[in-house]
Amino acid sequence: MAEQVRRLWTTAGGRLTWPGASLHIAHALSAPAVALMLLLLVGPLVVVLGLSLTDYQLGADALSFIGLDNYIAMAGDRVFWKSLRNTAIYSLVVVPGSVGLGLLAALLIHGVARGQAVYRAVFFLPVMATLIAMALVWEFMLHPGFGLVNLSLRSVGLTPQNWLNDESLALWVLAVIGIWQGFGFNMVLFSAGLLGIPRPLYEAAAIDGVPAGWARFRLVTWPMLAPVTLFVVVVTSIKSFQVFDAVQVLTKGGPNKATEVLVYTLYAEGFEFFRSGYASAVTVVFLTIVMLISVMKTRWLDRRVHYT
Amino acid sequence: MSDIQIRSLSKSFGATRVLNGVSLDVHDGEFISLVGPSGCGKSTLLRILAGLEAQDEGEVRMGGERIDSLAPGARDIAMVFQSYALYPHLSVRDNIAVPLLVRRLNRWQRMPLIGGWWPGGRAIRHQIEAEVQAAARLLDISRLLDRRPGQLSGGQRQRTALGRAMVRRPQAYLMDEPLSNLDANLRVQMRSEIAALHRSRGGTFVYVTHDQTEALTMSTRLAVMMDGVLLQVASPADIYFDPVDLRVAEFVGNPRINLLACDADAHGGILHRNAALGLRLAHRGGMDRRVTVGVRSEAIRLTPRTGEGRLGTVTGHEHLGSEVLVQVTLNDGGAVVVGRRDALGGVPERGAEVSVAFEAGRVLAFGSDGRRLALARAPHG
Repeated sequence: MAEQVRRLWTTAGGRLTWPGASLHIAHALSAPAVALMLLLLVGPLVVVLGLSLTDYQLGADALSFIGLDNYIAMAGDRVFWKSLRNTAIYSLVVVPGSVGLGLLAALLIHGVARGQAVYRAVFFLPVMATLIAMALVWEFMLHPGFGLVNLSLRSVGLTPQNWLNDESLALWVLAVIGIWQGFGFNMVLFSAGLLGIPRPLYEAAAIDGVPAGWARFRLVTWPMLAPVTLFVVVVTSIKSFQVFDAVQVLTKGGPNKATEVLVYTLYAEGFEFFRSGYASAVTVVFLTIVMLISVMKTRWLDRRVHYT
Repeated sequence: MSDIQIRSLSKSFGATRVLNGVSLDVHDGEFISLVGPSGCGKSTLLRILAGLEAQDEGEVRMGGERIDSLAPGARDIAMVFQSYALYPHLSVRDNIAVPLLVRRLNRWQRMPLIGGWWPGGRAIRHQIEAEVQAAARLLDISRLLDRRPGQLSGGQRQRTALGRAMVRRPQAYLMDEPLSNLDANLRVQMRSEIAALHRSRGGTFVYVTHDQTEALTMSTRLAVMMDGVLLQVASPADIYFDPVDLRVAEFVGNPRINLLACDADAHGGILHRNAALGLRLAHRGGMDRRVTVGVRSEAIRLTPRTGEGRLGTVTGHEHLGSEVLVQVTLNDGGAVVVGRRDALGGVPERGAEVSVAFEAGRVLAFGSDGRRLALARAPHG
């Protein structure tokens, strides 16, 4: 690298005053970017890592190093495991749900002759709306007494449910809201992916005798969408691991921790119980999981979905 | 039988009429090229034959049966695309096998995992593998069977696309400018290979190209199209030596045919700048007085200025290797004609005055509507 820079420097007609001069220039030029990166990205990460090894409490004047005690406490914390399990279940429902629904919507919209833009805009609405505001609307709709959902159920003779206060239902309800909120974004990405598939591939499939519909989808659409699908799955996974706002507005982790999720736990620990050290440890676990998803994408999956 | 009859096909895209009552008989086993400048409708015609586009009017028959309402897969045809249209995630082997897999295996036998265990599936797959290998050998891509299209050169992709078309042994092959994405050398090589495939495999070939050299070298017949109309359908020699329309004469031949704007006198004699050319129309009379005279470059004789014919000045050269194109500006009127000389046979210098004469029997005359006009047989003074 340094050698290349030096050669560039000389061929560009510059004077070389001392060996490695160009290297210093290169370092000097990249310094601002490196400094910003350290300050804004790496710095906070290091601070969180450091805090997770202390008993720091928000607002306290002193802190002491307690080693891995926070992590040990976490391992024995029933709420943490419950929270991790809930987040996993939530993701396992929301990722396939919103990816599948997004793909389906994109395929259907791609198939209609007119009004594609209108459909896209409608499905994209939940993405643009603030989830906090939308969560309030959901709260009205799901109200056990006068909510639209229960009124509808009652009018067709089905048993109304106490959606957000039923331990066995609340997490699923949140997952449905998560799907509703997220699939429009995936639909837009899939739509772009569909537009990028060369038409001659479909024509070749038609001439090769591949029947329209499922077989052609399997042969052309699905493999050609693979890079988009991978991206969508990764982004949706990360987003679903970060679920917080709906929980905060609708259930506050309840009833009886049934909707306690990772980010809510670290929020509650950090800003309600002021146990910043412990919250930092939860954050480290959360970041590790998110990072694993990204590493999996670049290390392994990327190679399987690009065909060149 | 795989003769194709096309009857008064018309097709419009919006307000643009792309095909205007095209009728064409493609004989069984022939190699016919559809040529014409881009936008002349040749690709649309091919896509209607393939079933990728529906005609507005007219019909298509193959072996006497109407096929124009059948799905592309139900017509016994294969198509090679300009972009090759290979499935990028499949190996060369699987790409070639697709048409066979789809047609011979049932839904269950095609399933990824259980397909191998479904009754009959394995035997059929073995048979398909053998046929894929045979096609690959023929195209000299046997050692590439496990690669993906992304790992192949343009020529190898083209061969794979040909393999996918051939493996099923369809009655007709439709080719949409299959060589235009290849570099010049490879194009020449693939040209002769496709022609050889046609000879060895049989089948009817319909080949679309805008490259007249391709069309002239490969085909048994050419169909020259312009503005959605078929101008002439004939053998390469007839198209070249005996074009029925000025546009055909202009489109085919390199360098372009030399054209002189002339007039006809009352007796049918042809005058260029009021000087007789020594040519006479076979059917004089008619209202038409404007005549275009066309002479191909090899039918132009350039001799030292003492010779017969008109005088001109050499204004340019173009070396083609074995031959030299000599550009001559005629002294009266300034029309420019291009003649051809053997590179070793002595080429007149730039600025030299030469006599320009037309070889008897090689002069073509066209009326103002572009139609060919017959010339009187007997040459005279």
